[in-house]
Amino acid sequence: MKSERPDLPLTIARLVRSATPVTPLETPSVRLARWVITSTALVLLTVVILGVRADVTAQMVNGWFVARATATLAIVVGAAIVAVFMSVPGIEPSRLLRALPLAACLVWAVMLVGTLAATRSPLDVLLQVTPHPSCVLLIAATAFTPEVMLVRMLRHAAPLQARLTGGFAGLASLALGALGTQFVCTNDAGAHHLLWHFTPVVLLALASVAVGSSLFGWAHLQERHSP
Amino acid sequence: MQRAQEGEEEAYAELLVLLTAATRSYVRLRVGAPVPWIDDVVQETLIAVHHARHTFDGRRPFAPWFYAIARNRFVDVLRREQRVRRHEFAGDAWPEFECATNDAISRVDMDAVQQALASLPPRQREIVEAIKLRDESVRDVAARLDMTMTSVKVTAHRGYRTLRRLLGVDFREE
Repeated sequence: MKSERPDLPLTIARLVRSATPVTPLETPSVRLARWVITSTALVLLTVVILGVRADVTAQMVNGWFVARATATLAIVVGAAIVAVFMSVPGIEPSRLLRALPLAACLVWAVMLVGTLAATRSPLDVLLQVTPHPSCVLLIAATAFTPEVMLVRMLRHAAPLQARLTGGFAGLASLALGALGTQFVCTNDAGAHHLLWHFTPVVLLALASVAVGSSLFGWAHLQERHSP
Repeated sequence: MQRAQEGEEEAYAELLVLLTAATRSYVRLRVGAPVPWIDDVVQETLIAVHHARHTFDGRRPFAPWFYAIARNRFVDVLRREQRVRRHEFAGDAWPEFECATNDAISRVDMDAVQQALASLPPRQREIVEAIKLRDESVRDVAARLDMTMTSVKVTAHRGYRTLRRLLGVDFREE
């Protein structure tokens, strides 16, 4: 078969013919604010429906509880900012900004490992953690709607780095799910949080990286805007 | 670009012609030597600009927006070309049924071929049948299916690979 190269005048003619007016996308800040507000409201509603832990008022002044909540909130906001800005060509966040949600993840992990390390035998404590798959389910269920909303929002833009966008979108939603779960789950042990809150968030976010290319690849844009 | 967003065909055509030249210059600058796939990058960039035109914010400069897309498409095509050269295709040749050895031909019966074709995903089957059975050119198939030529080639190759596996035939790729 002979080598064939694109017929550019034909391509231009086809693109021009199909150039219907388009409504410019809203600014990333507006879209981000909308997602944060709506998702937080949804997570709050979910938490209320599932039943807020009885000692929530006391926990709100508990440093350990607040520190974990702050770390996960930082991940939510940081990862959402990165994902939304990554979806618009030309304003992709810097490497430093991209590292912020990952740094927040690290802080969360260090806090949990720190409490574990403070025990006499960390490994024994870790091995004796009772399985709590319900926490994983709760995180996934709470994160589901925010994730769907974020994916729809990002797909409406034009992410250039599909896998990374998928990963950050997943991380933002899952961390939000973990934040909500923290207000339902009454087990505050560091080992429990490490195994049944932190680890699932990280693993599922990595899975989001894997599906990112099919969610945010250029193919979906071509399907949506095909002449 | 803003006029193009409003649907002005003339302005859009002018812009795409300008972007064609800009993309070619960009690729030449990055590669430092003439490459045969330069127009693949141009085509992919123009299509990407078209599909992403709603994301351009008129209050921001155009160049960073455009070059972010051009860079992305350039890297994508470059990777694809390198992969194609390294692993998938040797030159521009495709596995032909005619290229199979006599032994391979004797082992293939047409029912098996039809069955194997039927088991391909619809898009792969359509492309393999168009190129191999109806003798359509890659360009025609790409235009008809609204795909880039590179995507058609890659999809076709995946189809050939699956057929090769299903039929147990060692197609020669040269």
